[in-house]
Amino acid sequence: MSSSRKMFKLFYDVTSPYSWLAFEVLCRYRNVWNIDLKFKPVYLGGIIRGSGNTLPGLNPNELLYMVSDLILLSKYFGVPMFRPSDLSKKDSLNAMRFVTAVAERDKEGDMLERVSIELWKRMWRTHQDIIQLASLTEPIKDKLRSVTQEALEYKCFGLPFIVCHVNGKAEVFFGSDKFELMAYLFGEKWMGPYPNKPTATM
Amino acid sequence: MFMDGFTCCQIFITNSPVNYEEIVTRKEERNDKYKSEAATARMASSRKVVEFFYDVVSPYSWLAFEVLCRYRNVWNIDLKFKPAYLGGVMHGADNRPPAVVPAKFLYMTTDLERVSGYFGIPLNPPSNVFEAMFEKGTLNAMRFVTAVAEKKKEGDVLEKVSRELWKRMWSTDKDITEPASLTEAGLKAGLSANELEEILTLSKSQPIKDKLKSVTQEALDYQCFGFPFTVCHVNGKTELFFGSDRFEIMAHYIGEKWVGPHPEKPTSKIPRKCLEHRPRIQTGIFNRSHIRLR
Repeated sequence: MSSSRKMFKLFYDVTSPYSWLAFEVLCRYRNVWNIDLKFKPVYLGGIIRGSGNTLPGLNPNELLYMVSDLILLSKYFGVPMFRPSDLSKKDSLNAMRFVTAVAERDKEGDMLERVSIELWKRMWRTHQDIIQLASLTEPIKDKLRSVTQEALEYKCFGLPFIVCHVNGKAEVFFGSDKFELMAYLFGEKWMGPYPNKPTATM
Repeated sequence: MFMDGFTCCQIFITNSPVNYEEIVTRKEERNDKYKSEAATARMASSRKVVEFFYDVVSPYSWLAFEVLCRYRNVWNIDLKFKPAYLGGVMHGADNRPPAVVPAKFLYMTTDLERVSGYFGIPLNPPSNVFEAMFEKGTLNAMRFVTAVAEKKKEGDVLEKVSRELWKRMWSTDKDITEPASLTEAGLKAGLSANELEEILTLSKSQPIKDKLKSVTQEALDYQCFGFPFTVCHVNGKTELFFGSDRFEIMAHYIGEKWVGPHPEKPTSKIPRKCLEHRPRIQTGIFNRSHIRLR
């Protein structure tokens, strides 16, 4: 029995390390779960402001927990991140405008994915500066604003935020730890971080 | 419903800037402390020690609680229940309840309905969530649970009492602040009327108030900021897990296997629910009473 086609929208920002984990997992499961995966670059600052939330990691205990959580998760999911202790210091407005511009220019190819991964690596692995661009046009700024607004319309309050359109209904998931639940709801199988590796299956 | 909630509930706001050097130092101190604690735990028992901090005000804690109860004889673990006070953790950690953000509250309502089905736990939010969680609160209830823990160190009474309180608040929309309510829960858990009278008196005593405070402080010493909070001591190391979505990774960390929320029926054998069979959510209040708790 073949998997039914599902459309997933991944709302993400490169300043969000958990978004990177969700991104990697969804890419690995794209063909396994028959997902039409749509990448939706947004601005975390806009999400936080629009939902009345606060940035994660502003609370010292939460920050400490997230640092050790990311060390564990990055190992488990095979997405190495070094020094996740630099959480909450980075503003990503320019980076996400750049990503939006790439998305607009390259609608069919995989440039958006490659650029996003590069920026995540720079931010969370090699700790290089994000490219500073000289000028970004109004249409690009508006586009980022409108995709961010799209997320807010789904009542998004943080990233990653995954909207799944399955069998005519929309289900929303916050975070990178809901894949097992997604599998249960959509009649799929969660096989852990590596769906193509022969490991003990659930 | 939101407006009533917001005028009632306490918001903890921090204005202090985050000092990263201090955080790294605290983490190093914490790790040194864990090493010596873990060494002690290891000497005392060769099993893996899992400390579970919870408050019955927290529905996600109920999910985690039931999972750990199901796995306690499947995994080679020494499970220690740590009833604590979430209000105290919020205050001590300078945090605020997630429900104060409207979008988060809405999300949690949807999420709880889904996980209720997946975990097989009959979650039904109280009709006035903000009143139950913030106005009435669970201080009396957790003092009562603490007294049960002190009086009944052996056996499974603590587990049963905790479950009955969760069922009252998060399944049948009943009070858990009045002595009569706590008595009813205690009777259902198998305590006698005499024992209950003793425990109720004990729950109002200074030693029990102090005990609840000290267990809450234990959680804060692990830099806890919310519940459920699970602390695993394995092979001289300690790792912390927040929430009820970390069992797969927890299992990996402690060298065990996660087979889903029903270890007696591994996930691959459970008929998988498809989206179209799920009941519709009406204004965020849902009825899951047809699910029987195992």
